[in-house]
Amino acid sequence: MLIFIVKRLLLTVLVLAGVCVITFALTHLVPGNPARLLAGQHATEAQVAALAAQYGLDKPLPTQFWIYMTGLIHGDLGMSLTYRRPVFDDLAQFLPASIELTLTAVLLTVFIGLPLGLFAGVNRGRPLDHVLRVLTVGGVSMPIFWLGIILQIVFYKHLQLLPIGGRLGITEIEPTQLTGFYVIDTWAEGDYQAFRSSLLHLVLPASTLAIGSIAVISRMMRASVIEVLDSDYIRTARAKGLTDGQILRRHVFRNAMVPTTTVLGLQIGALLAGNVLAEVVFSWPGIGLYAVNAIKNLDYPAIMGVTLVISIIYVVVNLVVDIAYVVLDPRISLDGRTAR
Amino acid sequence: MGLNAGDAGLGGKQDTREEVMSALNGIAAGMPGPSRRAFLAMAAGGLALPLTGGRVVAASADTLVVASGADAVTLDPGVSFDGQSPLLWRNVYEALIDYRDDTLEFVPQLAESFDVSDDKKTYTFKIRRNVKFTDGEILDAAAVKFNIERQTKVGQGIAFALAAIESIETPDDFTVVLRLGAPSDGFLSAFASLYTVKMISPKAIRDNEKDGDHAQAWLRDNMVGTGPYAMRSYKQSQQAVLERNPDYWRGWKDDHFDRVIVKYVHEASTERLLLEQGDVDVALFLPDDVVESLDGKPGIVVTDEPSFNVYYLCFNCKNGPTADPRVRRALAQAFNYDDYINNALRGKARQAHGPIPSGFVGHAKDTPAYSFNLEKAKQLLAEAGYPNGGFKLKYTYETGYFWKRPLGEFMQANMKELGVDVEIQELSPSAWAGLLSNPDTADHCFGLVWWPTLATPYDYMWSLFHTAAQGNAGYNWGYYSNPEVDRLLDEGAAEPDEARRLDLYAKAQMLIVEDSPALFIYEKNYRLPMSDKISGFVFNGMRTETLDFYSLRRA
Repeated sequence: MLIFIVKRLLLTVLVLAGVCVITFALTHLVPGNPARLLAGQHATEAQVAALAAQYGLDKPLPTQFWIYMTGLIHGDLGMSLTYRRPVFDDLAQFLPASIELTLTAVLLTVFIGLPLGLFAGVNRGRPLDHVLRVLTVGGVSMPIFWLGIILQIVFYKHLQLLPIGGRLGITEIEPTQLTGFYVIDTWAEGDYQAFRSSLLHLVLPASTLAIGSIAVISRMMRASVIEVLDSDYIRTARAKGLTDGQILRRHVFRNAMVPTTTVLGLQIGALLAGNVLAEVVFSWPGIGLYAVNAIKNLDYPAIMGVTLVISIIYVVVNLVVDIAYVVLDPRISLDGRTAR
Repeated sequence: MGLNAGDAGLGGKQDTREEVMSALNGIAAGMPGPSRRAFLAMAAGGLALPLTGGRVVAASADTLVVASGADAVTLDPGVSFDGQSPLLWRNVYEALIDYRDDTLEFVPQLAESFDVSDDKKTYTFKIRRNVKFTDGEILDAAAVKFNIERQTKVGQGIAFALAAIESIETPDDFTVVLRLGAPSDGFLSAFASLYTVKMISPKAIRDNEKDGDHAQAWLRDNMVGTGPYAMRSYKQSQQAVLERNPDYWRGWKDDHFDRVIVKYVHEASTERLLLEQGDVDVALFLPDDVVESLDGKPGIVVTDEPSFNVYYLCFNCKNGPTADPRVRRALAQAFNYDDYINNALRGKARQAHGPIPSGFVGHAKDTPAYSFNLEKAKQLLAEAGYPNGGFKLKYTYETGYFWKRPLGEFMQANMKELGVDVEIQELSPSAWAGLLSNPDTADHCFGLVWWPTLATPYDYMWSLFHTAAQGNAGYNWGYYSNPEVDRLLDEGAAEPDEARRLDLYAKAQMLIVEDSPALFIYEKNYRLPMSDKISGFVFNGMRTETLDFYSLRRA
């Protein structure tokens, strides 16, 4: 297992190097003029040139790439053109918010999506199953930005139950950064009002993000459960005289989880992508919002930084999924041989 | 901060639970409970209101909440030309002089008086005494000189306008004399406008200077000024919290705001809802259609003031059919100005007469404006060799500039009448700037809005129509070039006599309208939606998209 993880991590470095080359090439293919844009409407030619020099934009592309890569090895992600500070500082500010939001959405997906799927699979063909199927098709089909705005109108404007956006109320002071997760930081500070507030602020954006994933996961789970229920070993288990509860716990859930885990891993990627939309709609100050601004301004170092971070998360999630297979299904082993 | 969170928690917990229960009961019973805003603050903010002395800041009469639809870029007033950051600069930092209310007349601010010599080459500022920065430093002539020098060395922001300075003298502790090599029109306004030399504590700059950066890295996140408010906390893309500077030299009365929160909101529909629900008092940087939809909503007023923002539709004057001024004049008469202004803009604008806004210094009153005349347009186009149109124009605009797409579509419909096809293309702002600032790739029509940095017509005409402002140097991205216009502008900027100067500028305006390098479409009214409880807002076109928090009150 350890060798497998080390191998995968080495591969990761290669993957990230590839990501760097491709992102750099793609962003620089666009014939933009970030220095002109950055300098602003009234800037003079000398000011534009000075800015271009300050950010190294006046150098030939291979040189720029070389400077970026050598910086990267030293942990320097460059200076953001938009916000005029190190990209590393930007990411340190924006990333925790995204992870907090994504993790909440993942938790919602797991704790709502899986039981729903299991329930639907076991009760296949019954009216409740049909209702759930209709609902999940609806869930998959709703675009995030549309759903987000609808939830805002319902829960903020009409019901006046939930805040519309941001991580805390307008007049609340944010906690000192420990983990960057407001839910944890406010709790750690003993500021229970802010803790409550941060939880409430998570509800709408996390639900907006999670509804699609819940639908996908529960459909996947339902299909897997049905497949497992039809298999020979379940019939054998029943013949052995196991109760329904025992069968569900020991055989059905565990086996149905193998394909579902794959989809869950992919869904975490989808949630990260969905973050971009949800964060804009809910003014959630995460890397999605940061990425949108970066792309608008053709802020090369910021785009590279965001891409790198998302790639790293993707790779790590995939690794975790692969390890989860082994835990869930003893027939799978990581070194490529089939266990007996 | 500095308050212990735990203390606030225990004492407040029980009371607040009761508050919520009573609020809920009140609502359930249909009784007049706490205000909706209070209830919302409790439900969402975790019981903000009843707590005093806790970490939670109460949203109440003494706090102004401003929503901004776009992010500030930097807190350093010396390095940026973006439209959003000045809102913060204006309230923490001050300049030597200012504009009186909504006029272009200069009044003292940190300078208690100022004098300009007849040859317009010597500017003398008497600095106000007893003004202190929030770190306790005294504002004196040396501090002013230091700040002007920092601005020049940083080389960004307003630095270009300071290039004319030859020497800065401080004959005594509270007098600053600037000597110019040659007169420079608009020079005084470099010390008064939105982008200007703001006074920053010299000690803060010296203490935080790193590798000769003039404290740019530090000042990006920190502010030490003389202004009415001090920055308490700032988080990029999230919010800025400003609080009264207790030692402010103009003093405080009870009804000023104690605290101002600027909330950065990233989706127009969200920002609109916040204002409609009364959770924010002012909503900046909303798209035009959203602003118009807020007009007339209960509790909301939308300002309606003439501004100095002029909207142009520029042609490429170097390549293609629009290189011929006859074609441009024909197109100028095929655009239905009245229809656009009255319908698309709901009448909240006036047709522009030439490149300079009508309320601005140096606007030539008799500058003609083209009116919609399709027959004349067709005839002109035929004279230019295009009897039935038959050519194609490209119109390009950047994502996020809400007014540009409707303008392009309207033009497309109008030009069809002439047999001219218009193809519309949307680009990212950077790609758009890249395309047009490069003379080899720029062959597009495009919308452009201009507002002045300096109070001189030169600001508009040089940036948009001077030959030297092509490409990266300015915004002459239609690559218009008329040596006579260049000469009139250059002579005007260096002419100390006002009457003669304005005469030169007037001639330039006539020539530009005759050549029609652009359609001079409209001067827009400034439309800012805010709560009808807020009073004291004065709009000045030189300071668009900012507020003076000190002058605002809650009615």
